[in-house]
Amino acid sequence: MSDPSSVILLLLMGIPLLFGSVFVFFSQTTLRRLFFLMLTIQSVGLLSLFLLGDHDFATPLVFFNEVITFSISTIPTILFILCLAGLWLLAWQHRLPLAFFPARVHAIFISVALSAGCLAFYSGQFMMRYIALEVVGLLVALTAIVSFANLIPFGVIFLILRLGDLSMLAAILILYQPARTLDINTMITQAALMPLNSQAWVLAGFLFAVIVKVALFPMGGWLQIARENKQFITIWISAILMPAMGYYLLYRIVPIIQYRAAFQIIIMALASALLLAIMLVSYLRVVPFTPFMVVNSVLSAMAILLAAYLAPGLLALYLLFILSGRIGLLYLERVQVSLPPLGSALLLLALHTAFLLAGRQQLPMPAIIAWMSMTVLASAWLFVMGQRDLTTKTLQEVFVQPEERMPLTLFTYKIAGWLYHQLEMGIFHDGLVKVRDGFIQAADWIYTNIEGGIENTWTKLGSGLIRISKSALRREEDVSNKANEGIHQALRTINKQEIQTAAKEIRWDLIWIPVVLIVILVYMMTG
Amino acid sequence: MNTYAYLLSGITLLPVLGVIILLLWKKATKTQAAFLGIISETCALIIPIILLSELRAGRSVVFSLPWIPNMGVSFSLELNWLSLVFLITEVLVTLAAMIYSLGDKDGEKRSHYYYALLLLFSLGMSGTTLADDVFLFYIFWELMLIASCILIISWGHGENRLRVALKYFIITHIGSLMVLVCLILLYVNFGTASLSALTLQAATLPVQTQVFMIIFFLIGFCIKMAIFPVHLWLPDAHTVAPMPVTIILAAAMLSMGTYGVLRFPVALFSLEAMQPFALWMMIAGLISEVYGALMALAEKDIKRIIAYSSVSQMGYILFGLGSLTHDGMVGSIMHVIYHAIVKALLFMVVGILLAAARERNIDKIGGLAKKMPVITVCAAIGILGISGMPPLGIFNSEWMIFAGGFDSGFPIVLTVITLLGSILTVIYSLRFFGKIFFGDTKPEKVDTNISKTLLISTVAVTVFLIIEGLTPGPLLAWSELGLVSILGGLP
Repeated sequence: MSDPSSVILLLLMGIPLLFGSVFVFFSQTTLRRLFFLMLTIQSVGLLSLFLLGDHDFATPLVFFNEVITFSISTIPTILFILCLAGLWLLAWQHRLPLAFFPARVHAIFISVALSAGCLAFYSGQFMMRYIALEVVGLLVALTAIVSFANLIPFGVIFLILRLGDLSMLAAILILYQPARTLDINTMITQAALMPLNSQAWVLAGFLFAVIVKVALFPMGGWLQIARENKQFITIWISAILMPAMGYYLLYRIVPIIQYRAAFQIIIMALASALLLAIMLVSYLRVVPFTPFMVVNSVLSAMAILLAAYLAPGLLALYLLFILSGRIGLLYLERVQVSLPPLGSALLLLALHTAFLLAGRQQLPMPAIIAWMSMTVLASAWLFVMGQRDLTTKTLQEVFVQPEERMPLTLFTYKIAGWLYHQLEMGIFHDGLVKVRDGFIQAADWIYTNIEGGIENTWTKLGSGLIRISKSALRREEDVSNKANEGIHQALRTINKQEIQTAAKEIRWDLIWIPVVLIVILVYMMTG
Repeated sequence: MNTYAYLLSGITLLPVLGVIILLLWKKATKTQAAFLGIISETCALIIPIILLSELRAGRSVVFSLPWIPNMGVSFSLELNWLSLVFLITEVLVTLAAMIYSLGDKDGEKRSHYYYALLLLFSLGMSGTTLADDVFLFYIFWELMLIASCILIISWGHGENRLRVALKYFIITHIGSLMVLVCLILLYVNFGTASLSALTLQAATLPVQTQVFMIIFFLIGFCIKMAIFPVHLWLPDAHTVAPMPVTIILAAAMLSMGTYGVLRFPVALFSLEAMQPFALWMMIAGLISEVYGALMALAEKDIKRIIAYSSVSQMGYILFGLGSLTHDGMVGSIMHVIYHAIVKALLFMVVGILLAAARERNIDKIGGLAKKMPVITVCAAIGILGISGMPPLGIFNSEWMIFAGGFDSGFPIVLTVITLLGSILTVIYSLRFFGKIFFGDTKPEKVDTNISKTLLISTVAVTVFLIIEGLTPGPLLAWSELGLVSILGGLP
């Protein structure tokens, strides 16, 4: 534990906590300097870790009879460096107007999140990572409560994230049974020997956790709420750190997905379905998602699709790419700059094609087809979405009245118009209308039942539970009242009998009975 | 008998001495009576800590005096790892409740009786955990019931306290009688009342007798644990009792049921004999967990909300015990302790809220976060604790219980439902916390001038909860040793 990597890592975990605890005592100006100092130290530390290379080490600390270990490797280090770069960007953005700089409590949240981040990325045990995820989830929710001074956003965020956490906990505990250790590598290795049923539960648990953490449709509602808290850089915790942890979790569970061919096919199908659903929902504007949310959802679904087949190295590269994209999009959104639609679509297409070419050896034909078709669809969708005014215009208005559009290149515009007129209005008019109606219905269903309706579901669930509870409570009160009545009745009877007994004269002629009983008792006790 | 044995007897004799002094010292003020109780409980806490060295050396401490020699009944006490865990929990909770009671308005009248009864209540629980004789066990078992009943009748709130106390007495006494039947059966079959001797012999009983006794023991102790549907006594008793008594009832006395399950059916009979009941225990635990949480969600009285949450939490414990696995049972023992700390904290918070707002209806209390920031933080930590948020303690015990569930060999879905059912705990906790501290409805008058004793004891329990959660090592080791001490280890 005396080697430089381990010392640096422990410092990386401890220093933010130290800063967090002293933030309380300083003025806003000093706080700002301290905050940047903390970021600098973290950045230098992480870069040093990156340069020092992979290293595993054990600490003297013990968690449930197991030595707490850490595993420093390149992928999490780069992910964490990227996260920190995002924090730098957001912090820098706030450098001028001091009032916008994080309030004390937010600075404390960020410092705790930095420590938890170290734990999540480097811990050698699943349970430690789970704890880190829970802590970060709580921080996201606490940020909401501090910012909105209202418990509802806190409650919704906390509940959704908790669902993800619990599913992850279930997966960890199922894995724990054969492995009898919390060590990640052993657990993942042992998972190969588990029966199909248990493996499926494990995978489902982890995958659901990933979907929640990366805020993928239909479990992204928490991020939508957390992002409404716009003036604080604590958005970094919810929009960058938490998804990065989710991506890393996905990266770690790749071996489990690839243990069985059936899992690969199911995951691919699931990712494709999620991707289509989010594109459809946002295309038909069923849900008022921001472009940031939708693009992130699409990219995250693509990552899951890739995770089914791609080697971990290439997948890691893809995850780094989408995390960078996420940070870039967040920054651009906050400085209110939008990318040209055609440019973004082509960039997406080019990058995904490059990934396909790089990984073509590892991907079977169905995966290549799925990947490519999803890429084309996503690029086309990005292009079309970029053309649209997301707030007021209908799809028809966008393409029929080009002059009302925002400044665009005429070429792009004509292509969009041609696509619309020739394909949608011309060749497939009738059929497409029907298909569209079907899509709308499907999207409506998805909205009502899944993402859009998640709040309704909570409300309905809550009301339902309260209704059931009230009815049960009434019954319980009835039983309780009956019991009370019974007791009362018994008391009255006893009282009556007592009065009757008291009124009777003592039968002295029968006094020998208790005397004999006492004698027998004394005889029994003394032998 | 060595010095340690005599020291062990002090755990039961010191409270008796305290009771005698209090009964004779009729002019004692509340503070004087409370201090006497606190001193007595502190001694009862120090003694097991001194005796730890003996346990660490692998020797259990035994104190034995003949009582009714011809019947083979003796005043035998034994301190082993299992009893140590429960004893320390019980004494700590009573101590915290007594300190808290100094700032509480209950017990102002006839204070010497009040604290004498509190000491007797504690003595009943200490004796229950230490007794190595089945009849002695039963006497202590009933002592805690009688003492708590008198406390509710004499110092309880509301006109219906007599009825509530009677209901509490009758329902729990039915459980006690079921336990008594089993104890007599054991005595009749083996001619000894020594629990240690019975532990070695009970497994030789005919299967039908074992089955009968396991059922009776389980129902009897489940009544004490307030498992659905035999929990009816709990919400009323918790609501009516004075706050220190409520704290002891919820945080310490419920755990006696768990101790009973471990000490009797689990320790006496083979695991094979218990196996047919495992699934039913787990299902009953699951139902209790969900039902208690639903009730807490529907309830409006803030004291009853926390009371119902006990029903839910006891469900987790029964679930873990039912798994009959190392992880599940160790997790259950740990859960008893963590639950005791969290529940003590939450009831302390409720007591302060009741004193400040003079309102019990959750719909009529709100927006207290700004007025009572320290209590808000304590409540938040308590709420996060009961929701199983790491690194607070309940997380540690819950994951072990769930791990036990997955390891039990029963369908995974059962444990998955239990695990997901814990989301209900989050919901009712958030409702409780949100409405009281962030709700829009403001009570007419809030007295924020909280007694420092109440505040200090609440903050102290909060800090203790955090420390306990961060350092689960010793508790885990003690719980594992406790299980080994009764079973010789589990796979």
